[in-house]
Amino acid sequence: MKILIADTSPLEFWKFPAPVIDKVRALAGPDHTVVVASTAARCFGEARDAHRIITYDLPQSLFKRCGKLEGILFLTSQLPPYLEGEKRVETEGIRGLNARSVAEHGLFLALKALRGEVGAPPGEFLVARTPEKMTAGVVGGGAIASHLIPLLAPLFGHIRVLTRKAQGLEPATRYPHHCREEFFRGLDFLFITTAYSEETRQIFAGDDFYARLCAQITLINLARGELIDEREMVAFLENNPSAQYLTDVTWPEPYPENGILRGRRQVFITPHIGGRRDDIWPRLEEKITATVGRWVRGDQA
Amino acid sequence: MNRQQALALIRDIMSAAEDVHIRIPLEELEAEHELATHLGLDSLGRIGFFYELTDRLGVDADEAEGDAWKTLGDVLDFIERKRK
Repeated sequence: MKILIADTSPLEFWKFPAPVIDKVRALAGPDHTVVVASTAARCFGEARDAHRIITYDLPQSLFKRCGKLEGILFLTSQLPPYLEGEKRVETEGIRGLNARSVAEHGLFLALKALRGEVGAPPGEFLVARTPEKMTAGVVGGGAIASHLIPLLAPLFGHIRVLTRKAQGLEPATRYPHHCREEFFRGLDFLFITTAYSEETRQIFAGDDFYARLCAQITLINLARGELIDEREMVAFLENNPSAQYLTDVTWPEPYPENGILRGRRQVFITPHIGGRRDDIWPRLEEKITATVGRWVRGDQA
Repeated sequence: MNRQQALALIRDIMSAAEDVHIRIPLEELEAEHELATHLGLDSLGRIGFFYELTDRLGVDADEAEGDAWKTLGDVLDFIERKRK
């Protein structure tokens, strides 16, 4: 068996630590090959005859060329949409593993906005706002939302969640997707935690979305940069000078210095650090070693 | 294939391929655009685009060629070379 570790993240924190790679090699033993690819080009070359891949991403065009592939471990919560219903290859992700950390980052961004740091001249602060009089909305009812809502509950007067779930997520009030209009009405804060898909992208696209928002809304994106069309967002912010956009995710990442969101008074960007907490790599190591051990033993997921 | 046709091919690939997404409208694509900063293609996205393109052109090429592209102009040059 050939195991490929696609160590292609441009972000230093997400590069595979040497002890993790050593553990994979030790588990694989002399009977199996472990290859670490640190560039996209090498990754593509090595993937073609790999049996198992550990990666953050796998483009469909590469997947189509992996003739021997039997399994993929994605170090992300969301698997690529093209793998939905895929039977040929065993796939798994790390759903929920860093959700608590991302939720805490959402709280951090919310407090930054509430305490008047966003929108003020550098080094100054606006007057803090009163959250107990506000309504916060959370889009998505997954692992991040389930950690975020209890963190927001002591702050905000009301919390709504747009979700397909028929129960749970208390104390938020659940809104099904066909009640989207009521969900957005009068929101002061909107937290985006939903997975990325063509369907969820439509929730945040065009006039249908922006026309529903209050002029002073604060949007906090913890999900994916691609969910927000940055040109539409900039137009909305220019038309609504009290609105704010705080995001941990951009497209692309790292976000370019000349990106149109840069330098805007109403925008605050963190460089996708929501899931970056000091307990994450030990937890990833645990997941990786458990999965590789299973691969080596030939056990099913 | 002239440069306009090559640009049309790129637009077609970018609108059709499921995992090649860009962050500006297709009609605004220009040769000067950098694949990373203007279009939002990271290294994996760029190589994915490379495979889609070589499939369409019906040519074999080394992945390192796609990895080295910096601008859309580099892609247009590649198409021009392969179509000669």
